Amino acid sequence: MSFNPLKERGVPLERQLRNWSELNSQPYDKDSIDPYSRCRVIVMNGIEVEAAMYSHQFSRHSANLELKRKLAMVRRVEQQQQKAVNWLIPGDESTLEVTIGFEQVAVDLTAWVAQAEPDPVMKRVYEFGLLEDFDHLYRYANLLDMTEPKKAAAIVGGLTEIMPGRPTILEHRHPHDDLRRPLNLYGSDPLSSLHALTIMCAEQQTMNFYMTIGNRPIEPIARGLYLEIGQIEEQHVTQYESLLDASATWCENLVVHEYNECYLYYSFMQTEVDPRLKALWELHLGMEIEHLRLACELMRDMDRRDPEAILPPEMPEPVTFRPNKEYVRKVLAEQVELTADELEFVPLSSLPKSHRYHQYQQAVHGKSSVPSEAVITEHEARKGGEYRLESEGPHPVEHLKMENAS
Amino acid sequence: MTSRAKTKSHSATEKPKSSKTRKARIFELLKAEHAEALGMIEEICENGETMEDAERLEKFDEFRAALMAHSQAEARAFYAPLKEAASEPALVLEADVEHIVVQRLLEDLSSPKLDAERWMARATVVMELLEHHIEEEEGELFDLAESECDEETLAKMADDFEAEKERLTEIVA
Ligand SMILES: [Fe+2]
Ligand SMILES: [Fe+2]
Ligand SMILES: [Fe+2]
Ligand SMILES: [Fe+2]
Ligand SMILES: [Fe+2]
Ligand SMILES: [Fe+2]
Repeated sequence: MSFNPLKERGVPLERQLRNWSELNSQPYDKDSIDPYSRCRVIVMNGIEVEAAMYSHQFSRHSANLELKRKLAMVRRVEQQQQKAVNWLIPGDESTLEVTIGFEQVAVDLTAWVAQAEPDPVMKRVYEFGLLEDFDHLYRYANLLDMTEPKKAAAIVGGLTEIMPGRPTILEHRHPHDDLRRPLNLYGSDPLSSLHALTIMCAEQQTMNFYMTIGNRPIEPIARGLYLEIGQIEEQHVTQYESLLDASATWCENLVVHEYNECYLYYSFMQTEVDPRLKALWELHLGMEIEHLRLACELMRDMDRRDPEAILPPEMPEPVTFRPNKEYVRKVLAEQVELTADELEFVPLSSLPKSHRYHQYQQAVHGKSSVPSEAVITEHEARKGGEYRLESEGPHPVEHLKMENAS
Repeated sequence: MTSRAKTKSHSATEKPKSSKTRKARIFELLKAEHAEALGMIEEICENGETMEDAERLEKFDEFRAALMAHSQAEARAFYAPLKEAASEPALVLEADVEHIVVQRLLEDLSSPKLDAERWMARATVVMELLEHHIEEEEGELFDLAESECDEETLAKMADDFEAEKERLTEIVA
């Protein structure tokens, strides 16, 4: 069943615009939605936001009116797609409940990508980031249990465990230690570009979401937690965008963006359990095939270069949401102690006292209470223990084992 | 405008490929830059030990920028169409890997943390890899291009390489 979007016929651009009622999607039911369907909605929203923002940046860097017109036309459709996808999220799902969904995405999407990644150097980067978002899930779950109150288990549906990862307090690193080795658009496996772009988009939208809704709660602890984790998402975007090939042209990047949209809609169409969502993924895939064709045309015209050289010969295996509990436990056991020093991952204990890591930690923590720690101690104080969801046994790391359960 | 192989339009009077005519301009362009890059790293390896840190790093940075612009332009303008044209792309894929390995060592060498001895050790490995890579590239890879690409493709490679080189030089500087 090989599928190559370059060989398929898409929906003609002039037939892609939809009216308000078509775009105002009936939201899903937050209690019966499959947790991984919620994850797919969150991912595709992030992908569409990047599609629009990338196109805006491209347009701002070009004086060619004809090109600007082409970009504006496709971008209007990307924006409609973003609305159709994001409006699936119901109004009665609180921002904190959606937040749990964002971090479940960051765990299970990154875990998939890490395991499917052909380049071992890139794979380590995903594993490194995975443990940090895994910890965010745990911190937010405690906030949810304390403030709404609600158990995050009901949102993740028992598909993802909830327990400490690399403690958020330790994740704050000097900006220079968040950059990684880039891939080569020509030379690396094309799947590596798709992976890096996908995770970059997901993290970027998490960053956008926290920086926007983080000031909506009234409780100081909730406001504090959003701003602290929001700063880690900034680090994650810095890390993942540095994987991309910065020597790519605007057109090459556009082609990779559109191919990636095809790849993800195709993947989610294959794996979606909700028939209504499946139909939407299929509709959008038809549109993206046409976007891709137009992007390839631009690349041939403007760069005089063949897009097939930077794309996979056929669709890679579909990106799939599924439980990764054993895998995450293994990565935890092996890598929880790591931090970053320049381009490398090293044990935190190997950094000298004079390392800029410690100066940065001092600058951001100072003598103040750190929200990601305070949320746990406050939860313990109010509820007599911390909130976890450890379905596969005790925590694999000795010093992160639970002392008193709630 | 795809450059799928129009191979071997040799007329009977043309010399067989083994004679390595290397007439096309792309070969001249690449060879000149190889010689230049090798010269730069040789100088660093020979005299690096006696240079001040700042001088050595400055020379290295010049070398790094030149080599990165070269190899990325080459990957686009020479390797990519060659993969298209060649019936067996294994040699080009091998060259891709060598680019990646060299690039990773160059990243190491940009680290201010490496002490001078370890820095020099890496620089020497870069030089050795580069010698190996260039030997294979000017041998087997140029052979492959000569036998599997028509004149038009080779000419386009040269124009494309020059244009890319100019664009990339600004980016990697
Ligand atoms: Fe889109
Ligand atoms: Fe996160
Ligand atoms: Fe993240
Ligand atoms: Fe698109
Ligand atoms: Fe070369
Ligand atoms: Fe080369």
